[in-house]
Amino acid sequence: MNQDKDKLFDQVVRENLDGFRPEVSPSIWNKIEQDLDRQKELRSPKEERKISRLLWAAAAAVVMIVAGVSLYRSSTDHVLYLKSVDTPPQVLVLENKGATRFEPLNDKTADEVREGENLIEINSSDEKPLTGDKKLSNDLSTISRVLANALAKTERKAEEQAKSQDLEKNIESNASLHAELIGPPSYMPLEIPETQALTSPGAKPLELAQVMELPTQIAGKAIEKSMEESGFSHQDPKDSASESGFGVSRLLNLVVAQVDKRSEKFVSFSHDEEGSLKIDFNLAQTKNNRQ
Amino acid sequence: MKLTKTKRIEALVAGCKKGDRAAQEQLYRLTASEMLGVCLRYTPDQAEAEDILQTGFVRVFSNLERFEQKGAFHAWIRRIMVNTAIEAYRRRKRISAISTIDEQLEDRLPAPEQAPMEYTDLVHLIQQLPDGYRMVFNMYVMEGYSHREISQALEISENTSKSQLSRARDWLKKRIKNEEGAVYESRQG
Repeated sequence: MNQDKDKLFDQVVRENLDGFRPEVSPSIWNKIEQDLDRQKELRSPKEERKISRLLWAAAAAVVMIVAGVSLYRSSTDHVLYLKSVDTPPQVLVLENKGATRFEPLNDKTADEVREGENLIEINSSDEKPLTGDKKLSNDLSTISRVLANALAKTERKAEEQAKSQDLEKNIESNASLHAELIGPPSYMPLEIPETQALTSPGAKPLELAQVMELPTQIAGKAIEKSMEESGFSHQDPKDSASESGFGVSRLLNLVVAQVDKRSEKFVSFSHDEEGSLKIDFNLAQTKNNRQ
Repeated sequence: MKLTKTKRIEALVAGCKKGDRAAQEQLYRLTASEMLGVCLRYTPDQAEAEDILQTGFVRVFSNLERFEQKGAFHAWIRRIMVNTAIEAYRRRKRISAISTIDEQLEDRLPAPEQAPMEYTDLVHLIQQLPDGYRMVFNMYVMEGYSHREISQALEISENTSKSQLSRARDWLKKRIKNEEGAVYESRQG
């Protein structure tokens, strides 16, 4: 009974209130408009932050790609093993006017040297030609040093000859008369071990030359060089000598500068003395953004 | 006529979604009076009701993109107003958490027989109810919430919701009987 009365009461109240339409103050709309304008102003930085986040994501993708390419290039160095028998032996020949030249060791040059017609220069300070017999008494280390210096000057010629000349295999008989040298490639060090650069009488030719420890190529160096050539470097030419720039870090900084227009960047790239890439984050910048 | 109004509201809602300020104003003028009536029932005075109306409409325009034309815009906007009023009640409740609702009732509720009738309509009577009573009464009677829903929204127990509703009814009945009881009594027979 009470419940029915309550329901009836509720119904009466609802009917009375449903049609209730009080007058609205005109000032309320003005306040709503102000609130909406304020909200719009507050929303703009949000959208800017959203765009900024997208740009950062794009920048991160570029960084990853550049880093990936650099890593790939630096990991694909080839190591070359040098084989001494692939390069022709050279003979240093002293001509009548005192000039010296290198010739590949073949039958003709071997005979010439054996007969003493042409002389082998083994001592640069001695201007007098030496006969083949006298030459044999010189110290092998002196021979090696002199020949190595001379070879450094004529290495290009030696390489060209190496491609066109046949190898002389039988050098045992000539070993006592000729200072035999294994024609070095351009990157072979000038100081050649005596026991391998020169063959002693009766010794068999070496199948393999000593495998030199070659410096690995650094991909960054090539990039750096190309960038410097293209005038990309922002460094003063005076400083460039003392501070060897790292092209990848500069490239990344350029990308960041395009994305982050602020004077103080959130991320900056640099390199240490060994060429490793360093990434610096400006955490104070993020704190400022939140504020 | 009603269909025309519905279509008009749909067109205005579409304009509001595009950020058209003129459409927003028209939509506001079309619905503000009714929504103020809702807000007045949930608040003790006109000023607070207008505050809720203002906050509610800002929310309506800010969240209009979420509204789908399938539902009734009238019900959607009314729900926003009620929710805004509930939030305002919660804030008031936290501020005046020292005294219980019962104590407030004893302090504020004037004895029906003794108090002179100052308000001419039902809304003003409802506004005289203590906060908790008014909220429960409005949510249950006017919006159709269950006691469970009311208890969750107002952070009270279901029994409290029931008792507050009962007390609110009793108080209102007495006031209506005193001043305008004829309408209610005649219907009751």
